[in-house]
Formats: sequence, structure tokens, C-alpha cells
Amino acid sequence: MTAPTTGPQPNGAGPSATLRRIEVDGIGIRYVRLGQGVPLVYLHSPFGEVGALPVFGALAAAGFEIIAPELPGFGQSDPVTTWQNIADVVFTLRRILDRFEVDRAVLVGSSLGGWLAAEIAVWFPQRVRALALLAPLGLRVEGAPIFQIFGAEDDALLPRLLARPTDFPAHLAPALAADDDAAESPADPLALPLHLFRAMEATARIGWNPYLHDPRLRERLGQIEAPTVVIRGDRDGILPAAHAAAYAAAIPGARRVEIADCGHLPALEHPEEVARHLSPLRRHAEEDHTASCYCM
Amino acid sequence: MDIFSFHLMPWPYLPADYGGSAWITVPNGLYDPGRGHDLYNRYLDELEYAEQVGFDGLVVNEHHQTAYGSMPSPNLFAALLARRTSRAKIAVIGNALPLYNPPTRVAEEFAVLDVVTGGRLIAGMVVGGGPEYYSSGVNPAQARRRFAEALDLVVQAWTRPGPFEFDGEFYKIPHVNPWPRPLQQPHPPVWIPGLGSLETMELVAARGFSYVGLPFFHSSVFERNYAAFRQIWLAAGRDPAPENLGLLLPIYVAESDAAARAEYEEHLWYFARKLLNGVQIVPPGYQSVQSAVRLMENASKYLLGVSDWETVVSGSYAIVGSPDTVAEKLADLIRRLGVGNLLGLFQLGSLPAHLTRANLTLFAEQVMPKLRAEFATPPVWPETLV
Repeated sequence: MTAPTTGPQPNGAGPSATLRRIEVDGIGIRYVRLGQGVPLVYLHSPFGEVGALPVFGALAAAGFEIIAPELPGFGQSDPVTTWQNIADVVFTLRRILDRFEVDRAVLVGSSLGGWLAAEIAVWFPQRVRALALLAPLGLRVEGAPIFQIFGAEDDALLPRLLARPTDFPAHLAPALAADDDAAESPADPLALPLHLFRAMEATARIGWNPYLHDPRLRERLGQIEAPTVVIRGDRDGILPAAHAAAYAAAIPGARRVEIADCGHLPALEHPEEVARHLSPLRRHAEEDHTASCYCM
Repeated sequence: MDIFSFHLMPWPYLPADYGGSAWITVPNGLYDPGRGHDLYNRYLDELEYAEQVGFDGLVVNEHHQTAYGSMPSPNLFAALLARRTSRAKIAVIGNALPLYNPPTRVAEEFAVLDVVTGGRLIAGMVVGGGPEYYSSGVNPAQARRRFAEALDLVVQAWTRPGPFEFDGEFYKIPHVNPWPRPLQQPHPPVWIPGLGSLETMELVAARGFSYVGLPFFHSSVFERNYAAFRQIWLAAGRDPAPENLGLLLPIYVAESDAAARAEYEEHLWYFARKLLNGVQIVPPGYQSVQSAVRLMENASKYLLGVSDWETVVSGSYAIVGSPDTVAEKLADLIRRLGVGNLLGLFQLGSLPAHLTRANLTLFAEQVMPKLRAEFATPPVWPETLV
């Protein structure tokens, strides 16, 4: 079992979200784990946000225990260079859940992470108590292409990504913080470019072609039984609204939420509101908890 | 000293008002097949002519979906030259291995070329340019591993008695058994072009292949990269081998320095501003962090960013001038870099047929003899003088 969260009970802020490391099948994985309550696994976007994020503080305050790994190849986690297809990626993710000893979790995924969360829900449904997909990639929708993020210049990408594009470095600052020193912001001007260089490489490894989707996923989404909410920002310029609609249509009983004045990364742009929309999933999870005698 | 004539077969007719990339997204409505017919035949004539005036080798190369170079399969052009030439080496540098599946096709086609030409083939193999990963859909995050495995497969196909099974990470082939086998034994010389990544140099040194630095950089970049190569080569326990190093750059010779500039300059700018535009795209995963940083340091020393003629001359981005000037500058570079192969681009950008031919003629008559005399024995590597 990995070290439990130290320090006081988080209370809305994230400084206690210390970055730690474990090994999963020989792959070094950096992660944060904070809060007490229903286990919630957060899978990040292509930009590799992790660390002391306000959304984690808000979710901890809402009664979740947050486990947020930096996926292989992102940030300071080792890459898995043998991944060749999405099945390889999903298997690695299952092993990460095993290593964290998270039996059944609320799965929250942003963008790329939303796609991966949906894959886990399809392949390992017993591991998913509830599902929150934030602007999830993963589907191809005719006539509604995903914006080409690979090779995009900042001035084209950022206004599509965020309602307030200049906030981008601040959103990623926690991921650039040194281990065990999450409050420090690094001075190295190359830290952010190198972080993004690795993040784009890792994203390409997963979703270069087919471009950020799994052609088989949509027909399998009907198998998902976990309570699901699909959230998107009304100003998302990366992922057209038709994608959230397609997920919601394919997953039985899925709810749809649209957040105002928000781009492609709601968890970073509107953490409190996202936490509010995720809070009901805890009740689902607690009912589930009683049924399965899950011990904390 | 072997002297080669290298051709890119560029598209010289991009409209004056076209300011977009020459790569990936350049609308192919701008390609005119009628003009293409004349152009292909003209460019092939220029390569054949180079053999006639005394070049040791002719070089073709692979580019996809770009006005920069119109040889999507360089093996086709090598085949066109194979039967129209009789003496010159034919260097294909190279086949972009990750774009061929299965790569045994490369082993087969190169073996055909080697057998047909009586062993005149130089077999170049490359990772492929960054833009080609956008054009092909091949995952750039797998590029290096695919390349290494495919290279291994091709060399095995040439050297291991077939049939045998190949069970790689990317390529699984139950029966590898190419027919024909290459004429040169154990296999044709393998040349690997590089941008300066140390990983590529280490691979070349470990296997005893040959290295050619990719062109259009300031000569200081070549000096740094070739010094790194020589050290890596020697550290691999090998003897100094100028014959395993090639220098590739644009060359233009005219009656005088002034005439050379007057005839050449606009065509060089067409190349630098129109055809190089877009080549700098580096897809995610295509390079290691170290290589990316190394390349970033060199970005300001790339012809795409050069805006004045004085820098072209002082940085030796192209060697342009009278026969004496060109011979002297080339001899200096060859000596400093320790190379035994000179690969010249004698046609660049929009340089027209008559100037290209005059360039080849003058170079062959007045520069080549000087270089041959100067390097009757190959240049000595500076490391061995210490």
C-alpha cells in the first residue's frame, strides 16, 4: 500500500497535494493523493495537469479521496515506449489502479483523460463506481473534427483551449513544481516548454493516428452501467459540442452539463463548479459502497 | 575523394503570391503535370549529364507531398538512372524506412538496383522528415524505434541466408527471403543522413555505416556535428574513415564571384523562402528532448532564417563564386570536417536548366580537378594529430 496522505485534512486549497512517486510494473509514476472519502481517480488532459490543483482541493472538500497520477510519458512519469494501441494504454491504466489499490473508484477524466476513463469503463466496468467525462476526446464525429493540437502554435491553440488563454502557465504551474515542494513555482524558463514537449509526445503515442479517438469505442459505450455525467465548456474550441452529445447519447442514462464562460479544460477553469457537478456522484458511490462492503 | 551530384527535383513554379508552407498543406492544384513532364525529364538529364562530365556518383532522395522535392519514391529515379548510366554510383539517400511496411520491400528494391547496376548502389536509409509524419499518418512517437528495427530487418534480409523468420516489435514476417540478393557483399554501402542527433551518429559508428549531415546550416553547425561524429566513430574503436563521412551543400560556379552571385541569388532565395518554408515542423515524439534542444540551438543557423547574401557567403550556406573561390572554400571545409565524399546540389530552387548545366560543366572542368589533386590522399582527421 502506498503512503497515505499526510498533513491536515485538505480544506478547499491544494498545497497539501504533495507529488510522490511509485513504480508500476517498473514504470515510475508521479502522482498526488489527498483527501479522505470516496476514491476518485483523476486522469489529466493532453497538457498533463497534476499537483496542487484547486479542483483537487474542491473535490477533497466535497468528500472524495483524490488520486491523480501523471500518466506514463507526461511530466516526470516514465514513458511506456511499447504502447502501440489503445488496448496497451488501457491495460497500463488498469495496472496503475491496481497499484494504488483502488478497487472501485469514481473516474474523472479531462479531454484525453476523459477518453481513457471511458475506455476503462468499457473494459473494466467493475472498477468504475461513477464516471465524469470532461470534454472527452475519444470519438470521431463526422462533420465535427477535433481541432488539430499537434503542431498548433500557441496563438492558435490557447484561445481555443481556455476562455482566458493567458491563464495557461498558471494552470500548469503545479505540475512543474518539484517533488515534495508543491508550493514552490519553478524559475526555469525551459520547464514549461519541456513539460509540453513531453506531454505532446505522450499524447501522440496514444492518439496520433487514429487522431485522438478509438474507432471502436462508440459502439461499446452502451455497455457502461456506471452513473455518468458529461461536462463541457460552452467556449470549447478544441472539441465540438457534438462529441459531448455523442457520448451522452451512447452511454445509458448519462447526464449532460454545460459550463458557461469555459473552454476545453473545465476542471482547471471552473474547479468549484466542476466539483459541485461531481458531488452527486459521491452519493451514487456511497450507495455502491454499502452494497459492496468496500472498506476505507 | 568521391564527388557526387545531388538533386532534389524541386518545383520551381510556386506562384509569386503564394506565401504558405511548401510542405504537407501546399495545395496540389499548384502542381502542373504538363510542366512536370518537362521538369522530370530535364532533372534526369541533369543527373545523367553529371556522369558524363565526370562525377563519381548521382544522388536521389525521398520526399512526400511537397514542392521541395518531387521524388516520392527515390528508387524509381534510381531505376530510371540505372539503365541510362554505366559508371557513376547511384546513391539513394534514402528510403524513409518507417514509411514502408513491410520494410522488406526496401531490401528487395535496393537489391534489384544493386544487381541491375552491377554494384553501383549506395543504400541510404532515413527516419523521414518531420512533415512526412503528418503526410503519412505514421506515429512519430514510434519513428526512431521503427527505423532502428526496419534497418536491422533490411540488413538481415541482405546478409542472413533465407528464408528466416523475423519477429520484431513492429514487423513480424514469417518468411524473409528476398529475391534477388544484392551484388555487393556483404551488402551495399549504407549511408545515414542526420540532423546532428548523437543517437544517429552512435548507430552509424556501431554498425560501420556512413554519415552525411543534412544541409542548409551554417558551417559552424557542421563543424560541431562532424567533430561529434568523428569522436563517436573513434570511440567505437574504429580507424579514421573520411570515406564514411559526406558533406552535402549547394554549389554554384560561374566565371567570377560577381557573375555567380548575379546568376544565382534569386534562385537561392526562392529555395530558402518558398521551398524551405514548412520543413521545420517537428512532430511530437520525433526527437528526444536532447536532440530537440540541440536543434533549437541551431535554429538561428538555418538557411530558412537567413535574410542577406553576406550571411549566405560567410556561413557557407552555399558555396558560390568563381572556380578558384569555390575550390578554395570547398577544400577548406573538406579538410576541416574530415570528409571523403562531397555531395553538391548543383540545381537549387528555381535555378533554370541552362545555368544548372553551365554550373555542372564549370565545376567539372575547373573545380573537380583541383579537389582531386588536393585530396589524392584523404583529409586527415584532426583527432589523430593529437
